[in-house]
Amino acid sequence: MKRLPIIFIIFTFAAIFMLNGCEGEVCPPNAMAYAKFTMVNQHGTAVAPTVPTSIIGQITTDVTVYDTLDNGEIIERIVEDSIISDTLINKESKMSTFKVPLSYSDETTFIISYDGEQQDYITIKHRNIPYFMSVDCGTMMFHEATEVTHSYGIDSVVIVNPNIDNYEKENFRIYFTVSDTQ
Amino acid sequence: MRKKTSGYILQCLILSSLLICPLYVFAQDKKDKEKTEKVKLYQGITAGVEIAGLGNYVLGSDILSSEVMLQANFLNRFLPVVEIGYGKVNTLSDATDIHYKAAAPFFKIGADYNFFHNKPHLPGYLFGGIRYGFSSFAYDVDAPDMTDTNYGGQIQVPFSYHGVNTTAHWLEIVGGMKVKIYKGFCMGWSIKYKKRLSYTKHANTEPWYIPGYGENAGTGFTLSYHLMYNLPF
Repeated sequence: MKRLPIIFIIFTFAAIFMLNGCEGEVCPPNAMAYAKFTMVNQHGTAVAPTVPTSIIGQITTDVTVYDTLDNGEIIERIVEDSIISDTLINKESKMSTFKVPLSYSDETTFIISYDGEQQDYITIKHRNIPYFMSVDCGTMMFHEATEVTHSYGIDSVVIVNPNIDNYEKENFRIYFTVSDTQ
Repeated sequence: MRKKTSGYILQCLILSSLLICPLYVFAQDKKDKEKTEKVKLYQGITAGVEIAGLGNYVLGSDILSSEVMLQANFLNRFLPVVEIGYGKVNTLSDATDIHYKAAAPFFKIGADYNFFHNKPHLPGYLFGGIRYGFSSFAYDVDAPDMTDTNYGGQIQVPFSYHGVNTTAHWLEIVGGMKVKIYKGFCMGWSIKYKKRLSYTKHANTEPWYIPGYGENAGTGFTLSYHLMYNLPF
């Protein structure tokens, strides 16, 4: 029992060490939620456009604008059903998957532009889920995809996982018909 | 600042307990040979209060957490315990401007084991134990409006959820020491390893702080400092 004081001291310093070691915030690595798309052929094999491809996000919403009158007065005006476009990916080559953010609207359209020559579009209807996890990490916006439509250049779009949050996973699979010689 | 204050206070309290060590040295001058005597089943009840959480709050922490305990002693070896506490937080983050508020009681039940049960002449003992805890509470979260950083930043979504009801359950593995300081008065500190079992999920929020458990992580450590009194019956 002569070792008792030593045991106490060891326990004490171990406790202090552990207390210091436990101080730290654990926030998710991705504060943004991205929808991940995979492009595949009719056999389910990944394919990539042969030309540089851009993804343009588009929403329709009311926009507040400020007009300056001749007398210098500034007036606020709401322009209803304005189309807002945002280039999310610009001319990327050999892109068989891509990740893009959905909007805070209830519908987001993605225009797939093949080197500015041809275009396809995918429209996703979604439910937005504001989310709080920690006062130190801030708030995040997650989404749940409810419906997807597309242009005729695309065979089909399948919702693989409707939950779009800060855990990266395949959410949508875009099927193209590609001739077997390509 | 919130966490650092808490850490410094607990470290001071723990270091102060080292002053008790000389008592053990004197106590060891006695012969270690304990005669095997018939030990009574019921050895008494101890009442105690956790003061580190109170100290943190008095010194400016946003979090108040304290508890009272009643612990029975059987055979000087098995120590069943019931703890009832109150946890409160009202904080506004400087970094994110998020306001979080919760206040509720919590309950724990468990038992400790006295590793020095055959050394009753010592003025204290080391113990290990386990607790099951739960708390049912409601919390409020208010955050600045969320602005879409893409698509022109035109859409804003308010974020305010009040009275979100949650129940949380957890386990604690406890290790610590308890020493007599004067007559029936004792003090002790303990390290608690906490493992969250479950909590009610809400579609838009999860509790950041759980009364009795602390910040809502899957596991964590807590240090406690108790003042206790051995009741005279």
